[in-house]
Amino acid sequence: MRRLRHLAVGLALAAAAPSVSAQTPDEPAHAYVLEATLDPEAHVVTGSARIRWTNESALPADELWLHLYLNAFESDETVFMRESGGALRGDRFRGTGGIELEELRLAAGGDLLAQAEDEVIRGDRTQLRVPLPESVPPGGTVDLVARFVSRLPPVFARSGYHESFHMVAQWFPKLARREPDGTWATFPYHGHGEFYADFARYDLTVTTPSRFEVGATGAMVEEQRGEGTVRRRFVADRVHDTAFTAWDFFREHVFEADGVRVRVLYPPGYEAALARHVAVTRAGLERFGALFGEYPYPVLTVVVPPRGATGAAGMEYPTLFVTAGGWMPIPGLHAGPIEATTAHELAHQWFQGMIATNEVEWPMLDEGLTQWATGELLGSMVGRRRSALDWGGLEIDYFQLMRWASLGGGPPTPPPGSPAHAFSDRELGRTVYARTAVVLETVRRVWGPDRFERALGTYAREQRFRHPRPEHLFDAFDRTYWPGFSERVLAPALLEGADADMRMVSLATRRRGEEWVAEVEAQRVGAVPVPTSVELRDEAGERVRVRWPGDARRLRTTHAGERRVVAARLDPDGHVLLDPRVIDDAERVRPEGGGGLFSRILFAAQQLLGWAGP
Amino acid sequence: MKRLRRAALVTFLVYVTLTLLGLVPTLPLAGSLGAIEAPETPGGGALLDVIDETAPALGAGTTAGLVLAFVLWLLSPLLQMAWLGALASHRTAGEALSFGASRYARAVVVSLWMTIPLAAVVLALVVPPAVGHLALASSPNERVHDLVVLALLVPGAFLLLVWCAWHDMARAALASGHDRPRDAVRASLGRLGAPAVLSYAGWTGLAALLAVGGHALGAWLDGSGGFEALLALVLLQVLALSRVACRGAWLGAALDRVEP
Repeated sequence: MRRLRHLAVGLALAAAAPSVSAQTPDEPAHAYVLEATLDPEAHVVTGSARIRWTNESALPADELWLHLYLNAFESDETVFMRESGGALRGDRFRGTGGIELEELRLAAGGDLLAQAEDEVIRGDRTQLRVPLPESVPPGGTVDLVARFVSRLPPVFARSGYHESFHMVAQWFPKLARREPDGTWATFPYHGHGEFYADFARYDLTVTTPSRFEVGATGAMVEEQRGEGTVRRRFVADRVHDTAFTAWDFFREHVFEADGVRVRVLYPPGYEAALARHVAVTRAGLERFGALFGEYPYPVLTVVVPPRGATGAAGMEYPTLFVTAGGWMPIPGLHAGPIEATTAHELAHQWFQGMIATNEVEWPMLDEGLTQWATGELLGSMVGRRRSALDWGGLEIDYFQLMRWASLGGGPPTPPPGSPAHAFSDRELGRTVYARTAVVLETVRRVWGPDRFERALGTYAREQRFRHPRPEHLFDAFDRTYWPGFSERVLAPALLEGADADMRMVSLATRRRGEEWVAEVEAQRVGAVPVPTSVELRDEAGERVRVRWPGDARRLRTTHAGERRVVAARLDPDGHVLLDPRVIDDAERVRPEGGGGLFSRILFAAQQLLGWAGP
Repeated sequence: MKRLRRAALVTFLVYVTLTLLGLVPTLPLAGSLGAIEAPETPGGGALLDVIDETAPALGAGTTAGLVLAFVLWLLSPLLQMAWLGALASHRTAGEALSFGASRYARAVVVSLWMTIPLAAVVLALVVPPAVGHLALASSPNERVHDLVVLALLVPGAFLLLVWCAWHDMARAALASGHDRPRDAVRASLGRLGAPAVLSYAGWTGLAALLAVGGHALGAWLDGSGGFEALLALVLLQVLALSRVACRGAWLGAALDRVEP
């Protein structure tokens, strides 16, 4: 890049000709016309781009910022590699990849590469600062032309190849987003958080050998078969990214759901898994459409990657997502890779796809909300209490699993509302994904589903095709619940990492004349004020509940009755998921059980020892 | 079955040995689990917390269990030869144990001889699946790949079953007159046929069924009340004893086949 800069410096100085224009009403503010030719043997994409950018901020723009994210894989010195240690989601990176910009100029003429700064952070060429020869005034547009070569890495962290399977993502020069106040929201390619861009029209033409099937962002509007090659054109409006996949072994299944043409590309032999992917996608389009507003695009492509390409799995792109899982679904395992990943990536079509938050700055606004939506969809399909696992009587609730993952021990993590790079891989899953979902589900269960769905639905509908921040989410909840709700509940839980830990302190019973008196004491340790109740059970199994308001730190209650109270428990319906420990929520007058447990453990030990015995 | 009746006391002693050793990890683990007053939470919330809470006790219990299994494995030739001695002819428990002790070293040597065919069995378990994997490594159809590899494990698994039957029969031969381990191995090979393998598979399968049935029964009974707890204990121990008896029945059948 530096060599090119020296060579082109003279041209750049000469190219200070007028190059910006005002946006006409019928043109999108931002548009990409991309041509990509995939060489599947060399795993190289040769591309060109025409990019239109409109300055939607209040200030003139003297420079542009481009993201060249594939360069994250060109050395061990990049921000991505230093932060991740060359490993992401259990995959270790071996190989190299990168994008070389061969040409970048104004459409009207005038090279831009010569002045461009490509190593904004030492060792990292994932951002390119491009000074403009002439400022772009507010409302003005600039048209760019680029030629580039993208060398795909062995599939890792969303992009790359495995044998002839290719997932071509984060692969072209893409403009960062300029905020209304004139600052560029630009960042290097981090291991976590890759999206934040303007909505644009993407017109992508992909050329591959003719045996390859291709799936891409947008609807296919044109297909031309040439000699040994096929050229397919995909167009998508109001999306913020484009990606494509190509493989010569893809099978295709097409169906329609909720007015959307869904195309599933899957490996041969995956027919049983396909049925689950289809069922979840069908249910999801309907459920998410009802909750967050209907899916607005005519097409959706679901990509099931082959086994060796798990580095591409579990990733969302506008109108296309890559799911996960093998060919054999495990009955009853809803939280497994097939159902949960499909539900999760589909939910991303809303949270980040349409409600385009800054994923690096506020990852909880897409991953956290998406994780809640995942549990919501699985719960709506099979029932909440068995939404993670349903194995012949062993039932696990997806949100209980999230509670356990996020609050059940382990070292403390930054609050969910922290930026993506504040977290390790593991912490991100525990906190941004799971804990945010737990906070939201606690609100839903404690104050009821109707109000919750109204609040989240309001946020989703109002912020569609916008770039909201946490305050927009909080505002929607404040309007739906009551003023100050977010300050009391959401902000402490999401921005400060507070929980709603509560515990039973004591249960004592005594005789008073003809009746039994029970005295119960419970304590709230966590800072999130969540109302709940305590349930008392007498020796005949009769139950009575006492309310415990959210603002009372301590509960002391007395109950008198004909029969003795033998047990008391907090939160009997399991609503307060923000309580890190459920097992300290109960108290009994005398211990029960134990005998059956002993018999079963002894029997198991006898059987295991029997295999080593005579 | 006649042999099993003859060796009822030694069979019971084998059950008692397994029970006493089983109590070592059971008592602390049951105590630690029983101390948790886990409320019934919809969706398994308490269950997940219990996993966290009992992880240390479970870890300790597993370690203790593995150590005991190793000790039992070392004792196994003695116990098996004592058992076979009682099954082979009328012996008191003391005589059977003494017989077992006197045959301990030879029983170990029998196992050492049996490592030769075991190596072939291991090869049969490893090589065909590996060849299948390599042949289909570039196939895009993972289902076909996995099913072929799985199918290629079957011959090796069958040979392992045959080897297990042979090993028991070789020790049975040692208890029924073949004093030299090599002769016992040879003689048992001569008697190793389809009926013997089927008999081994049948008794072992029944024992496994009893084990699975016991776990299901335990889960179903729960045993949280006083009477239910007692009922669970009795029923599960009857099943545990039955499982030992299945093993005894097979060893008796092995003696039938190898006796001169």
